[in-house]
Amino acid sequence: MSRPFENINDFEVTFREYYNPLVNFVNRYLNNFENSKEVVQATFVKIWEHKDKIEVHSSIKSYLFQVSKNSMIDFIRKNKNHLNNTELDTNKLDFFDDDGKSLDPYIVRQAIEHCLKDKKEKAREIFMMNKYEGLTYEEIADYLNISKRSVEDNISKILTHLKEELKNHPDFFD
Amino acid sequence: MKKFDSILNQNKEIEDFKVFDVDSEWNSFLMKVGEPKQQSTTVESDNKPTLSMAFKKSKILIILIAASITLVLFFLFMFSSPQPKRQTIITSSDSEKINMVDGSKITLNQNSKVEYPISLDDLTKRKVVLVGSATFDVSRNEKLPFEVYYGDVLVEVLGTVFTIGKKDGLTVVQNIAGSIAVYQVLNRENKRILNQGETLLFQHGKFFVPEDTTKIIIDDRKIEVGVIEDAKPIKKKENESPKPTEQTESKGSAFKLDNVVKNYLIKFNKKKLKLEKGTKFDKNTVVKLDINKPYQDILQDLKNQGHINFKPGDCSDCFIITSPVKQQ
Repeated sequence: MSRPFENINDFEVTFREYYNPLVNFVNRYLNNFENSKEVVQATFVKIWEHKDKIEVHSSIKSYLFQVSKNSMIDFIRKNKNHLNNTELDTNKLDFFDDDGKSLDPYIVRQAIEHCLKDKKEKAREIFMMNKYEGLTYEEIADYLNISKRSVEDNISKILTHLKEELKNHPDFFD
Repeated sequence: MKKFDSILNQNKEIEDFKVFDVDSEWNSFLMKVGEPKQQSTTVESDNKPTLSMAFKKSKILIILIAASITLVLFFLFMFSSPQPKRQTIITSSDSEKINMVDGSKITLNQNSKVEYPISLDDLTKRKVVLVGSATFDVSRNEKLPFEVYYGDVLVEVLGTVFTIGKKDGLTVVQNIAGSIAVYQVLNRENKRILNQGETLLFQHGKFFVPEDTTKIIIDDRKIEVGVIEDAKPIKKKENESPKPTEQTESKGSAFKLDNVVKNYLIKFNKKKLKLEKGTKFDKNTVVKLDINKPYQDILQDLKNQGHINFKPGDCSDCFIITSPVKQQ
């Protein structure tokens, strides 16, 4: 049991680490980035305003997940008459899990985006073709007219960098 | 490792991931809770070394040395390296208007990135690479096709106005004026032609046509998409009457003959088609074709219309395009 949010500097670290993953996670259900940002901001404001009373029994990630889920439901209830039906994917609301694991892909994705930001266009393209579009190394090598070894090297470097970025998240490695 | 790989695989399901400016979001949060804005917003979760007192004392010397090196490198660069021929623009919270050297205009929306040529010297096409969303107003240049690479979709135009964006994993191409061809990058035979006012969607290697295009709104934040139908051909406008310069015998859309032969047939069937030396076409001739047909059928249509002739090439499906037979 801990009180991780008492200090503004520590809180800022948490904010910066989880803001984008949470917004994108919430957007999966709300289908509107402006609303999703509003929900996540409300989440962090709620936590800050009650920081003296908050005790985290699980991980910070799980706690943030729970609070943002509740903020999202509150938002939907308050705004259900205004929300466009094509924005809100109500079917997906039935599939909440409660331990925050749903947030993991978004945390990893943020790390990927941060990692790829400084990479050359070719390395980014190779990684995205393999990991997001599902192309094999051979297919990528054929398409880009490079060697398979070059594809492997590029992906390997980015994965190594990713694991270094995520080493503080022991949840991701067995 | 297995857990990480599994999570990485789950990333494929994340269709639209946006990275927002955390500095401005943090400041926005501080305003909401009544805390003062921080001057320096670089808080890193891993500890980076800060300037030691000893390093600060020699700061002026270091700056002078760095400035000298920069000056030397600048002059070396100016006199040895060729001028860059491409430029990249990245937007965050604001959109940006870009004027290309050929007069084409790009309106780059928020959180987007575009790379484009800043010199047309020695180019055979105007190649643009886009991430995010943008509207293009392309100036006409038949000698330099304008190509926009957007993930796994390629849009090729002569001169037109169109918008590309993404919503819920769907690539949305909205043609506002002129005609454009939209291809799947990895499979050029998977293509569609968009006429003025038409909209096309693309996902996982398939093109879709929205049932109601009036619901398509592309701006820098939101695209509303109506019901999606799978793989129906693009609807022709029933009231459209043929233009005076069009050949009206065959069905399809209108194209310049020169463009169809060189920038479409031969370009995308390089192993099968060649142009015989000395073959010339009237550059003003406009033909009406169904560009979605196989290239052999297109060749036959053009021959039937009297615009070209062709003869067998070196392989079974190969052809050499020649001038049309002169009518006596």
